Amino acid sequence: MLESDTSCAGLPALGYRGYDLNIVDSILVFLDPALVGPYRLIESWSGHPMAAWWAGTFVLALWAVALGHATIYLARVINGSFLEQSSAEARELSNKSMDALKSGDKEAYKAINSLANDSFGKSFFQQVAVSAGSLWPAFLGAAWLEARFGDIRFAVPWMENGINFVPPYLICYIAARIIWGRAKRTFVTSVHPEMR
Amino acid sequence: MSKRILLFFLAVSFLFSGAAIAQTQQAAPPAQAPASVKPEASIPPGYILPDMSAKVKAAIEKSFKSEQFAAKTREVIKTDQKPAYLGIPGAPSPNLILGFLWAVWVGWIFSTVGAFGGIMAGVGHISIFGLGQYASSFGKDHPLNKLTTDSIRVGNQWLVGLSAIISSFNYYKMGRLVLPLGMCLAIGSVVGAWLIPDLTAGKINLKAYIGYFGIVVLAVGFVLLKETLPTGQAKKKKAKEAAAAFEKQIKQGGKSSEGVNIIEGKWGLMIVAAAAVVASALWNSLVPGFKWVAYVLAFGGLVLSFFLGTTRFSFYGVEFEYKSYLPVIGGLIISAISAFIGVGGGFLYVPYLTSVAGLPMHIVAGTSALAVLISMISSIFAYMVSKGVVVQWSFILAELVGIFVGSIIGPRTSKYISDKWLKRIFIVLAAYVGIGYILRGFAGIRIPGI
Repeated sequence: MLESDTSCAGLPALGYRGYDLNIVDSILVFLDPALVGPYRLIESWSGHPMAAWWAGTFVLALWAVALGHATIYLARVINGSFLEQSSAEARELSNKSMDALKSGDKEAYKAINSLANDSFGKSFFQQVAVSAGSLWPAFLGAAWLEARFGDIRFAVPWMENGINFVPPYLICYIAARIIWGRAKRTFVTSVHPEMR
Repeated sequence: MSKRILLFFLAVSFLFSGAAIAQTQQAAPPAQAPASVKPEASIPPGYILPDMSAKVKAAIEKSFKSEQFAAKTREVIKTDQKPAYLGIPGAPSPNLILGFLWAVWVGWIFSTVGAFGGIMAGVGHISIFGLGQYASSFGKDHPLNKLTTDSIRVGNQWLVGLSAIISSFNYYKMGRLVLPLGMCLAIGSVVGAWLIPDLTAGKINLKAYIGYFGIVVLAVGFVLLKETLPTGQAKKKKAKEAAAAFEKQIKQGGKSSEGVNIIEGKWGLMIVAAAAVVASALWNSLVPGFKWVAYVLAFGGLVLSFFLGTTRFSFYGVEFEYKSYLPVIGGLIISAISAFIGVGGGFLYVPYLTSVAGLPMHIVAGTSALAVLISMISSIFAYMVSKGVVVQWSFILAELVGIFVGSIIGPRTSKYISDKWLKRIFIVLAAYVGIGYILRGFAGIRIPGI
């Protein structure tokens, strides 16, 4: 499976198959040798294309996670105070509504809860938008995988046509995030709590 | 221990609900059989190109099996032109720079007004890049219309759903979760995710999709309008006054213990109802025949949920109660909307649970985070099982980067424009876009820019 794909010179199905190369395609062409490197290296070591595919995709996922974290770090440096301010406001209102509840003042609770709702909505969507910053490299990885391995299928019981590269890539990406998180907790935040 | 089992059960049920949606999409009949089915001996040259994905090739091949569809394929696909979107010759070629700039605008809205950003992302996919118009030019029930519509919908799902998952995960980590509430949302969501798309399969094409999308846009505009009207403003003012008065009155005491305690809830019946709907989803996705069994199980589960009565729990020592069927109905409607329109849907849980069920934000944040998490798993499954709906990754990438940039700019500009004015701008926009889509989707009338 893997041999036929990796032996192609350049990317077999770049961009959307017949497009003029856009900026993302150009980036993919530039990155291709580095991204396909681990696949080829592991394949030459192990002689097992499937193992090489999984390992290579995991390395790709690790790159995506690392780049995503770097982007979020950048966002915190630039906009951390704004984000903290809005989430602190939501938190404060939420706590106040709980205080109102504890004191048995249902009217005050309802009023403050509605303000907390507004404030939470704003803070929530701010975080959603910022989280896009941690995800963009995952899609760069997906675009590259589509171009290089878009047509391969993985056999799965019950499913006649198997699945494409997306589910295995997701598994690798989730695993990479978990490992990254644990490593960060162990080696970074335990020593420098301010880097949390 | 029992909580863990229930959590596991919830997760599994959602997982299968996702598989069910996907299976529905996969198994959905493409259309009613066209009047005259006369397969063409061979497909004329130029329509299928070697670089097209298998799914696009299959859709074109399928269209040539019917005279009516083949005529449309010949009319819309311009074989003398360059391949563009999905590799189809003569299709629109979405501009990545335009996509990026539009996404900056979406990110800016996300970080200033909120939920309307998801809708604006959808507007981009439908109107700004010309994909919606291209899809509908193939006409009703055409395989390429469905393919392009799916591509737009899944694009939306990835964009909004995936970016929501990480931030909602942070809220989930707060651990504020009312399990029976999550369970009831699950019962509704499992059914809504497969049954509603299933019952309407083949009846919804892009034209109708645009119309429904318009209704959602108008509804959001209406909610914004209500907030800026004198009555809405007065309500907000009153709430602020009450908050201030309470703040004066209360002396901040020590922190009390937190946590949810379930006082009353029919666990046994709830588990039976959840098992029935999960079985319905499983049956629908795995068993090829006897579909009526899946319908009976789904409706059975829903009917049972109406006998769950009232669930009572305490939080901070204060008692809350809600009718258990309310989150079931909410989950049903919200998951159906998400499945159709691909606008995420997760953000709908928060206002639903606070306004309709009257629950405090602390709890709603955690519970809705779980719902967002699971609805994402659903859409991933949908994507997996439906043999890979074609998604243009580079485009989503450009949009994510744009949203991120917009979200950095947003908070820095919001101090120059008041909240009220921002909302007014969006009301006008929502009214124009909403009415435009409704007219286009249901009456075939087009207004400029839509």
